[in-house]
Amino acid sequence: MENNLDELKSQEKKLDIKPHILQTEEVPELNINIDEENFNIELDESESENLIKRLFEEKPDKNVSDFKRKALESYKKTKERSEKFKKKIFG
Amino acid sequence: MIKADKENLLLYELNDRIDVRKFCCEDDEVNDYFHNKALINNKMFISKAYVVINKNNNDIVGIFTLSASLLKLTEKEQYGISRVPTILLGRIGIDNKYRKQNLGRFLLEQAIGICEEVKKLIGCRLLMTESISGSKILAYFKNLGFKYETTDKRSGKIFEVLSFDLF
Repeated sequence: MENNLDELKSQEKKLDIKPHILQTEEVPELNINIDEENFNIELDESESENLIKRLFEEKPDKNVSDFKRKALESYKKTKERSEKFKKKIFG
Repeated sequence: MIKADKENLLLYELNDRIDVRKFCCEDDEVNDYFHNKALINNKMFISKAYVVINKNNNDIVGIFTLSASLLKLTEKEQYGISRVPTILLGRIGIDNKYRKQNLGRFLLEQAIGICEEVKKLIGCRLLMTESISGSKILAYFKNLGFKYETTDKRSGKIFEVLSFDLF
């Protein structure tokens, strides 16, 4: 266990984990593969405080509100269209 | 490459009338999941897989999964919560024939739309996902309003965990 932790720490040092700066036209391919069984996240004290502050005390971020509004419009349109074409797709 | 017009894209929950074996993205593990495990997990309510279909040719353009999850907090008295109910965006992939068209954003919009419906019925505050630290995907998600929560280390890799506030 201790050896594993040491190994991880040493790998972390070796890895370049500087945030990637996204160029304007650059759209990465979205591929995500998370094994739900292993996704068991616990925040530390300072991360918990930050999150609670954000969730309970701060106004919603404008980027989030804008994207959510656009997402909802897109979803509603897609849902309506999908209902309409259900027969064509599934017979 | 096949050009996809967003007005021709349809969204369905994966079911046994959809031939998911045709789907192929650049991640073999994502392909394996959708080819072999997604349908059974859908039926067992373990995770829900959604497919985006091109109505012109019935191609599967993209695919994603959502499942219930929890984000554990270091216990705090202030608001009386020790965990935040979340939805996990566990898997996402775009078919190789439809790459380079920013369709990932379209898939994310559909995922957020579904979360909006879910949150009217049960408590869930965040849409969660993660990716390998330093990856381009993380920057892309952050540009859309996802926030960094923490770093997770497992299987010798370092992941950044992100959340999108559904409030």
